[in-house]
Amino acid sequence: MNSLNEPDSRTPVTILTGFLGSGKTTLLNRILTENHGKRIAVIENEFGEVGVDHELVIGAEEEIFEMNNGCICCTVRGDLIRILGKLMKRKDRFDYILIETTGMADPGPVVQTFFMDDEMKEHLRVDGVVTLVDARHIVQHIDTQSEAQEQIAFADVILLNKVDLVNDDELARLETRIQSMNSEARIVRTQNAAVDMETVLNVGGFDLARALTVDEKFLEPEYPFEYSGVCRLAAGHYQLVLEEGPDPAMSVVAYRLSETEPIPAELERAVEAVVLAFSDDEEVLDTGGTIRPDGTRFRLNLWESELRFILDAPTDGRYVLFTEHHPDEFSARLLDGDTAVSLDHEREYKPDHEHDEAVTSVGITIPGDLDPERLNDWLGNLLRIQGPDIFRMKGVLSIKGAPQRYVFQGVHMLFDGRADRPWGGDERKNTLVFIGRNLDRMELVEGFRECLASA
Amino acid sequence: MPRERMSGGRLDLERVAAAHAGGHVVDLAWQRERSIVAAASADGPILVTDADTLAPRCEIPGHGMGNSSVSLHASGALVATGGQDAQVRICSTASGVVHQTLSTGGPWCERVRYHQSGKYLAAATGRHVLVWDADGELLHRWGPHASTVADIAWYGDVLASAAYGAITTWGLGGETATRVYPWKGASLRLLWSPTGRFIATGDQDSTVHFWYVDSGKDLQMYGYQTKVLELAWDAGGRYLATGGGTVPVIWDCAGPKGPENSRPIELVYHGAPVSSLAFSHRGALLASGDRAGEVAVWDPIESDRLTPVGAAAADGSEITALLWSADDTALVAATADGAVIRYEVASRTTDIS
Repeated sequence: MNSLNEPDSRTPVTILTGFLGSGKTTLLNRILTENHGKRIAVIENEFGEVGVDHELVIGAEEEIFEMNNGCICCTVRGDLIRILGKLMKRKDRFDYILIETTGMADPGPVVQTFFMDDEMKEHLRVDGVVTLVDARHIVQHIDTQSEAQEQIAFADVILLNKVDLVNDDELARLETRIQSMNSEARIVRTQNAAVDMETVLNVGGFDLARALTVDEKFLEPEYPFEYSGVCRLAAGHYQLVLEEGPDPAMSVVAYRLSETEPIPAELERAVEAVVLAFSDDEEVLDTGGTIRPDGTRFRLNLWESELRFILDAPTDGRYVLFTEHHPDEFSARLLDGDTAVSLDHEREYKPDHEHDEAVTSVGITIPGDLDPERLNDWLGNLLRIQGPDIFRMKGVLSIKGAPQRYVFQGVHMLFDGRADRPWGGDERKNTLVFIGRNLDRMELVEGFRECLASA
Repeated sequence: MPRERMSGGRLDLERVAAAHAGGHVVDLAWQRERSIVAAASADGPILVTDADTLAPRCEIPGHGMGNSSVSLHASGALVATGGQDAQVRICSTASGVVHQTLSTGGPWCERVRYHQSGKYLAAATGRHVLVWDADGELLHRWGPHASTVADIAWYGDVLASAAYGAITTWGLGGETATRVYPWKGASLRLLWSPTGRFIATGDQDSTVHFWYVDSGKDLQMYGYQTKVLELAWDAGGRYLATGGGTVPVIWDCAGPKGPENSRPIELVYHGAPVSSLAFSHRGALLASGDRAGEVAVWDPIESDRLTPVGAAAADGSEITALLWSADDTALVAATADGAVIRYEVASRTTDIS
């Protein structure tokens, strides 16, 4: 690895993944024909129609070298080592190397090749994994095919291609789904794989110097509810009207807010109580039943044709209603007589993941300093046990006694970290993200919290 | 003889000749009776020189997309080359004229190796090994192997091939493998012990593997820093020197248990990873070259000395190949910059220590 002050002179490698038909070849052709003045070598695992005079295109057959020790993290791509090893011995130098994988390729061994093989590591660095997603057809694969999930999980940039073939709602849902799998990837909507070269080259996805940019939304815990709405109500009875939706029941919790603080701050405190309430016993309500704003969890039965519940506001004030599912799914509305109540504030929450097998991102932000020994033990143990399920991880950590930020990133069990710039006046905190399968957020958060140095 | 002269003494490595191969030298061959050295560069020509003076005899145009391997015929009159264009060429070492161009039909040619007699030429191409006779008639197309063939080596009329998944042996005249030594790992380099007792391999997973050829029993040696591409047997077939890091390691394979549970000899000197190793033909002087261009000569067995007995200063370019002259008085080194250098190895006349 390069040191802090030395520019990295290794040739950058971009790994292009995506299912057959997602537009990889189109993108490759764009990159090669664009007048960028760069010399690019391309290694193609799927033989397309690519071929440009001044570029070097090498066909390769995927050769996966697993090791006798059975460690999946030691699995590398023999074809790449052979081809790139030869390429590096040539006098003509390339500014960039692009590797196009087959549609069904697991990006893990490709990425690992550049960390596990010393010859590769010395001359080359992975700049990023770019995954093309066919916006229309990915829904057929995203839940069932591990290759599609892994290609998304490993990505630094996801090109949501063929956006012209799906409507905005579908696109928004797909984006949310992809973000829940990989919160770190930049998602770019494209048509015919038309994208700025800067979006796919020079990504710096494995560059420790580029600080972790965690989308705050994905640092939130997962909630047992998806929505909260805040409104001002005069004392009285209001009607919560719903239509038939995708679920037969939905839990709701209502509260009266104190109005001593701005809504977001009040909500923040309410959220903690509501999370607990959602694990409490529930009171079942059939249509016509009354929801009390006292923190009780009500389970609304939604199988009848006319769904009309009463929200009781005992006094004038500001109320909040948390709902297990998004109210839009049931076309839910709160009525005062025949008039819809206007909402002062709405918020969506990242829901719990329904499938254990799913690929998810777990982001953790905890202020304070870490005990390096505890951290080592925890991380070592975690990677030993869960390494095969952790595709990518990144973090910026505050180590007790160290004036500098500690940055790290990893692929499966491979770990690469070093001291970065000083914290200076910034608040010392720890931010890390895991992208993987079967990740248990609570366990990760608790385990990580245990690494904090005692005051 | 030089061996006697050198024993226990200190050696000077004097650079006496040099040539330029035109690019990173990927394979080096020395036909000792005819005193010819041939060097294949990654993307330059094939250089054929006189072994003593390194004066060029001829320069053969390289293969399209680059060269991968070179082998000299027993007569010294012919040189075989293989390249990324999947072709094998047989050329005159005097004029460079191409006598024959053999198409492998594979995706590329990884290795060419003449049979010791010069009667056969083997080439590794993709998942196959091809064997031609002296007239260029294809005799065998062995394979397909489970994966790309990484290395081949003759022992008498038997050829061993290394590919991910197994070491395989093939016999002249036979169409099928004579023996398969399965191994779930990627063997990158393969070397028969001079007695034929062992096949040693250097592997991707930073290990060295020994196969007892007769019984099929195998041993795996751990602890290397990197993948192992450097292997050298001493002439007696007892010691195997291995690279895979900055410290050359020598395994003693004597006795019924071979190197099993033995402690290897470790040679600490190089500041950069070792990139080439060669044992002398008599005795057991070991030459080692590293990625910084340093060459060291050791006498670790007979003198019991674990510091180099001679060294040549680094010139910054990786030593990609090392070969001893027939009488062990000279070494030829090739580098990543394309240099081919001849060192005379002589005992030091004045003791400066």
